[in-house]
Amino acid sequence: MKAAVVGASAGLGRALAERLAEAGHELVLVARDSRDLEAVACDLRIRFATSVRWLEADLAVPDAAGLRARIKDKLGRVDALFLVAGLGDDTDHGPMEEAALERVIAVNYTSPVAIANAFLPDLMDGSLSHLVGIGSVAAMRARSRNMVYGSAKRGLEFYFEALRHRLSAYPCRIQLYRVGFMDTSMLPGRGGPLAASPDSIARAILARLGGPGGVAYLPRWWRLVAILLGVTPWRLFIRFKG
Amino acid sequence: MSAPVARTFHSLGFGESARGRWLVPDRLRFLDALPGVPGIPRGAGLSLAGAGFGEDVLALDMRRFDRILAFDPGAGTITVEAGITLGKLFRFLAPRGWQIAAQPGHPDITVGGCIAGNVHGKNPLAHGCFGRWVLELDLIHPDHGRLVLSADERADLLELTIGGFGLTGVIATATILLQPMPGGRMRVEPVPVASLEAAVETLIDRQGDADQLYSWHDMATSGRRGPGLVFHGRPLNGPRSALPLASYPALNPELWALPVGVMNRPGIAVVNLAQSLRWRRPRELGAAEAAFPFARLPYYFYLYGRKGFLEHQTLVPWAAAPAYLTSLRRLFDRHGVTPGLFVMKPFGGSPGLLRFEGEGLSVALEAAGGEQARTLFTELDALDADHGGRANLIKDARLPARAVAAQYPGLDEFRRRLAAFDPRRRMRSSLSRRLEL
Ligand SMILES: Cc1cc2nc3c(=O)[nH]c(=O)nc-3n(C[C@H](O)[C@H](O)[C@H](O)COP(=O)(O)OP(=O)(O)OC[C@H]3O[C@@H](n4cnc5c(N)ncnc54)[C@H](O)[C@@H]3O)c2cc1C
Ligand SMILES: NC(=O)c1ccc[n+]([C@@H]2O[C@H](COP(=O)([O-])OP(=O)(O)OC[C@H]3O[C@@H](n4cnc5c(N)ncnc54)[C@H](OP(=O)(O)O)[C@@H]3O)[C@@H](O)[C@H]2O)c1
Repeated sequence: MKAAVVGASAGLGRALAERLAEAGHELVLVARDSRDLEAVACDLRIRFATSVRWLEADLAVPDAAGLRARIKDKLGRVDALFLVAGLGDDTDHGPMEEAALERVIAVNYTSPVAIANAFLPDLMDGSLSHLVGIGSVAAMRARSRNMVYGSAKRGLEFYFEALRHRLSAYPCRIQLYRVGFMDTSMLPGRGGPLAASPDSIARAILARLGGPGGVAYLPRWWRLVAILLGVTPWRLFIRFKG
Repeated sequence: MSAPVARTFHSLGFGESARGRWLVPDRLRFLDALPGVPGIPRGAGLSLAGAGFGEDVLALDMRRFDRILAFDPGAGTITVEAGITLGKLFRFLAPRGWQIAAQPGHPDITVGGCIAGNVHGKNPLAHGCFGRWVLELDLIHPDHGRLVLSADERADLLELTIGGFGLTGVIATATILLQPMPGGRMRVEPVPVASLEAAVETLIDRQGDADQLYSWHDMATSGRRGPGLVFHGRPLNGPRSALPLASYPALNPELWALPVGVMNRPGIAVVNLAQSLRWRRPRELGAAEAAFPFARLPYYFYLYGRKGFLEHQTLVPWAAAPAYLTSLRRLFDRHGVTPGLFVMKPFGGSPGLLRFEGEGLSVALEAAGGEQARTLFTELDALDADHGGRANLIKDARLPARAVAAQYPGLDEFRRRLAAFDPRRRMRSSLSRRLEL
């Protein structure tokens, strides 16, 4: 298989790239810093003797068509596309600076949507079989923390559901995961014992590749939290701050 | 990029603790502009001294920089980022017929920790310490930027950094000379010995052809003669089978220590009995099990409880060893302390600065933490000095500066060279403050 991972130099994206390389797949890694990308690519090439290339791109400055062309230039055909890059912001309980707000929306929403849109022809002609997006449990129920981030992730889910509807007659799989807290540098020290290792999430995503489409929780137990949050009366819910 | 988190750090065994900040960077741009505040690089935090943290110090956890950057099977060298663990390296190297020569006993230990602590493996006599195998380093310092260190370039700084306890800056990458892996399995013969002295003789006799050679003693018996076993390991010839390092439970004494320790004399007797039953006859160990005996036994450390344990390792000249062991026995009796672990090894390598290296016998012991143990260890410091011994700095959480001054002729030179390289002393740790480095 040939796979592209966007946001592959750290955290979940790096874990996914590692598991994909281990399984012998040919890879293109995308993130902003060529040095991190080259270090990850080196490691994977040496350990798993598979072809790993990389591209520098900044999702805050979207150029989805350009990115698609560059990925296809490296890989030829793409079988699986993982849109993993995401961005949180410490001031996202408002008011935020407009530039910061726009970045959060661009990286978490506009860019992944634009990239999926750019690859729509590939999904339709059967060459791209798997599109995987990464959402967040921050999109479960709107709260005073991660306001813009949560909205962007919710918007991304909506688009993925729309895409799934649009492509229901095609053989491709559209999957999106509401991922829980992970032990990465995105949430330093905040996840506590609830934080899962990015590697365990990566393994779960790959085990479900080609499985049911749509939105699912990882780790699975977050679904229970979502149900409980969903039925929590507003008067109680407004106390869940901080 | 992530923000630092405030937390309390403990050395393994709870011998030294401090409140500091913790940062786990994972992108190289972070290393371009290291914060100038007092900081200290850190690996897995498995040191028995407070070497990777300090009061109000920013601890830079390097474990996400763990990539293999180059591997040359022709020359037998590998270039890695310093946060890589010995376990990850083992999984890569073993199937390819290579190994790290001087490998300490837990797979979570990082290469950075091995270099900064200049650690030793199962056979320091034959293989020296970790530093001997380091060909080149990339060192990053907030005031000096990125520096390449090798025998040809800044050799003096390389010397200071090997066994430099992270005080010269962050080791970003290292090129290491590898050792061919002789075979997949190792045959370990337990040779029963009646006393510490008998073990010393056996260790000397068998020095010639051992890949692993160390002794283990039961000091809970009355009279404390120290009956025990000399472990003599030799690689088995035969096909070099790739033996994987199976997954192992995490070692996290901070999380799992029993509320009350059970490593008192009866408890130790039970642990020792289990050990001697396990070793009634020679055993064949897989390469992973031979390399990382502690990987499957983290529970052992939890037995000491929240009060933890103190460790002490001394390198005594061979000639002084018998007298040293006799006095040691008397010390245990006088203070009513029974060491939970007592291990001896023939040692080698070349001493210098603050390195725990050189010809002689290494005597390592572990005792349940508390007042008694601390008093005993204070007397141990004097005993070491009297016998020309030197204590291992990375393994003793309470070793005072004056003990090091009495034992290490290189102390002043270490201080002078460190101050010359880094007059603002950007790197600090509990260890560096305790030893006034
Ligand atoms: C079960 C067990 C068995 C052991 N067996 C042995 C043994 O057989 N022989 C032996 O010699 N030791 C042994 N040790 C001790 C251990 O090898 C050392 O304490 C080692 O330094 C721990 O490495 P670490 O990655 O945990 O580093 P840490 O404990 O986090 O740090 C150790 C030192 O290394 C420095 N450091 C870490 N990373 C870097 C970096 N990237 N750049 C610069 N400095 C850095 C830190 O500042 C600190 O001074 C053992 C420890 C355990 C827990
Ligand atoms: N961590 C959590 O607890 C958590 C919880 C729920 C959901 N999630 C989601 O899970 C996904 C992965 O998160 P993570 O924790 O693994 O993040 P991470 O560790 O911060 O890694 C993010 C990756 O994306 C890249 N990236 C970031 N901004 C980019 C940009 N503008 N353009 C291109 N690449 C960019 C990063 O590299 P560069 O910075 O070099 O570009 C890096 O490779 C994200 O979508 C996140 O929202 C995370």
